Amino acid sequence: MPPLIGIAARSAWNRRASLSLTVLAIALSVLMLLGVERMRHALRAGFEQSVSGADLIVGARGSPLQLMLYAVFRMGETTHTMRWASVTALAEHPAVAWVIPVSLGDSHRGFPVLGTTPAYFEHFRHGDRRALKIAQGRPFEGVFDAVLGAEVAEALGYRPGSRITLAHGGGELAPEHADKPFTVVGVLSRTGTPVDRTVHISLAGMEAIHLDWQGGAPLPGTSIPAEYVSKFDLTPKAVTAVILGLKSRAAVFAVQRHVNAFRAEPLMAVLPGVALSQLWQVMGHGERALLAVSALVVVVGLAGLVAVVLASLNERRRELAILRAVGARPHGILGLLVIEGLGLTLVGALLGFVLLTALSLAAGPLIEARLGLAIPATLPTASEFALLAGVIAAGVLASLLPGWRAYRMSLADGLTPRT
Amino acid sequence: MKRFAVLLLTLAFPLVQAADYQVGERLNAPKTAKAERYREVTWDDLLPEGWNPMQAIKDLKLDQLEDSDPRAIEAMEKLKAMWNDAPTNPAIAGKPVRIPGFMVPLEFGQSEVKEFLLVPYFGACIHVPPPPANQVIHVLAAKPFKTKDYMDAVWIEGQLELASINTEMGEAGYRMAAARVTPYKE
Amino acid sequence: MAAPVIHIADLVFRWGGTPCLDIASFHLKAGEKAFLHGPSGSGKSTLLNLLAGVLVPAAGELAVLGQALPRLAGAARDRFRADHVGIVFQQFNLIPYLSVLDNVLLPCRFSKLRQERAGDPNAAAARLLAHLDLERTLWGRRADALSVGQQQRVAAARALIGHPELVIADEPTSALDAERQAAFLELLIRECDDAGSALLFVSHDRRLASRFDRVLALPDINRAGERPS
Repeated sequence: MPPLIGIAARSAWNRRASLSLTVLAIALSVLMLLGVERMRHALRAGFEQSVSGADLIVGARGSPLQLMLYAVFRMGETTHTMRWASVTALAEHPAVAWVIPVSLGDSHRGFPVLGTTPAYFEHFRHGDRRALKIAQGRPFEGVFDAVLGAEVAEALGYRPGSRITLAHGGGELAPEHADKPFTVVGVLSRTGTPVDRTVHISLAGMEAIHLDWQGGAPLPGTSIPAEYVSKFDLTPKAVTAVILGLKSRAAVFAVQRHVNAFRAEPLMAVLPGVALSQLWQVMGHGERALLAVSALVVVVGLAGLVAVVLASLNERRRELAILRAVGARPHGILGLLVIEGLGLTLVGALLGFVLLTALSLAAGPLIEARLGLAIPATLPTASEFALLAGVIAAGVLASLLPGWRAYRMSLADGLTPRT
Repeated sequence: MKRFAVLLLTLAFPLVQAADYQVGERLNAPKTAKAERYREVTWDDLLPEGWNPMQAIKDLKLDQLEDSDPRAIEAMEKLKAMWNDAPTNPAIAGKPVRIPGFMVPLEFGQSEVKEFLLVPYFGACIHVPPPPANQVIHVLAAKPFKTKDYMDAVWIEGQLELASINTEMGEAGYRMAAARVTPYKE
Repeated sequence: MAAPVIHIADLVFRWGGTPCLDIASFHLKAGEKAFLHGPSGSGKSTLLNLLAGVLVPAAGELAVLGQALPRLAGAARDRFRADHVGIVFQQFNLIPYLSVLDNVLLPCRFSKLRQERAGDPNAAAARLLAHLDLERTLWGRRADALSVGQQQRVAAARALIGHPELVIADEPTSALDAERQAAFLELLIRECDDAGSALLFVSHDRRLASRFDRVLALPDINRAGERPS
């Protein structure tokens, strides 16, 4: 076998013009396969990291998944809010350690605005139970203070002291609360979660900018200037959701039962683990479909390789006859072709991985900014290795076809091929 | 586009049942001969003798009552009270046991579950009310359990302890620390 | 009494149902040089493949160096050929993308015996190439960069490295022009003498026959008559 490896390598190099395209095709298909797998993991990790530390998420009764997606990931929307009275009632429940009320709905230049309390900075956890860190400045105190996530500050070039105005709703033509600008007082460190893309203000601030608004537009004729805002009661009447932390995790069921049976208004309590589990179920179908498509693309790439090698076999009959003349066995000829196919697949897979790394490094920051997904440029993980191994195994299997052809040809030709 | 995707997700959601289990489904009585240190128990073993919440409504003819009938409401309240008050079975405390159930994940991430509640049936707290305290085990895994499905069916082995019951807090009745967790296969 | 290099008795080979080779007897002694006149269609290729152990006869005796080839399994026959037989074709003898030197060294890669006999394979190859009038500058070049005449001489070197007992040359001069044919033949015969190898030279050109110990015609010894190739 050893002499064949060298011969296979040089033979392939000799035909590099036609083979390089198929190797590139394999490389691109591997890029797609690994890329899809990586994004899948990044997506899952992104979701999981965003909810660590939240024992329950409570909101108006409706779809649990929708509530979690909106409250934690700022994706989509809900139409129903929950009353402030319920929030205080929950805070008083003996099993509850802390509450973080959150209010969503406004935006600033495409970034969502979150109204919350200082408890957010104290109790919110992400990733591996990590707390939020203030990179610059301080949490909000005044009504019109704002704390920015790392991405917002970086993308728009804000620092403590910058002035911003918020828009109502999320669209491009969202009407602005132009008369009540906010001042940036703090910027958070990067978390790799939707926190980075969020503008945080106090609930009082959220209430203030909607004082003279009704149903999404400013009330005509009334306009309450910022200075007079403090004369009004800025306790919020309703919030989007509440994130709960319990004194003991084992009490989740009891608290959930309590929330579900709430007399004052219809509420529901969502266990993040359960909701995520169900999200994975739904996503699982799409993920599997995408994986199947990627695998198909790899098959196509390998089919191209087989076609090219088969096509070249005729010209190589003399070459194979010479090898037989110096003592190669027909099985050796088969082995030669298989080694060649294996080598080409290996090179293609390696090239694909290199391309993936290059792409991760180049486009990674952009994807993280736009989608909040962190795609690391690392060595292959266990599952990625398994995929690569699968591709290479498929390459070996595919090479058996030209190998078999060459084997039969060699047997028939012997030393005297008729070319 | 994002809105559409979220809408699609939430609509598709109720149509999807997880892996192989239906909501409310229980696991079959195990036929394995594992014995050794751990005694295989069933969920009924976790209930104290003579505790039967259905006692409250035994005498009522529920199908003849309307939902809003005061007697029905009273019966439901009694049921809920018993549910909340679910006492544990002291006979089983401190014993090394082996029991199968479904996970409700509490601490998880990267295809691993480290801490969870073990319940007798699938879908607890999705569409079906969660079980009473004496049918819930708060499990801390000795080693993180690797799984793609965080609500999978598993065997747990370990020493079953009574959790400190504070009915106001309504904690899980039982606790198992340093449990050995293995997948449940039919 | 050493076994003859080639021993053939009542050898029959059939293509399909009809016999294309039927040889009553043929022998080649050690170191002997035989010229076999074989026009195309006379069963020449079949005989070559049989002697090389690539094909197996339907009937009869076929022994090379005393080893009955039909008794060996396919892989063993290939090994035997690698160990004991050197082959020169009419053209396209060399692997085009390997260097001249690598081509010459090929048999040593496939046969331990020949590698050992060659001693230091690189030195042996160098010696053969020099004897065959190939200058050093050509040795590192790609094989397909050489002229046909040069390629044939490289092929001879390859066939001879490691002292195989039998060298089979199938029309090795047919692609060369007249003046070079004689020169090539001289070199080949001299090296075979040097190595002590027997030479079976097959050609349709009788003019070259004078240098050989024995001259035969394949149609004369092949009782199966002419077959179209």
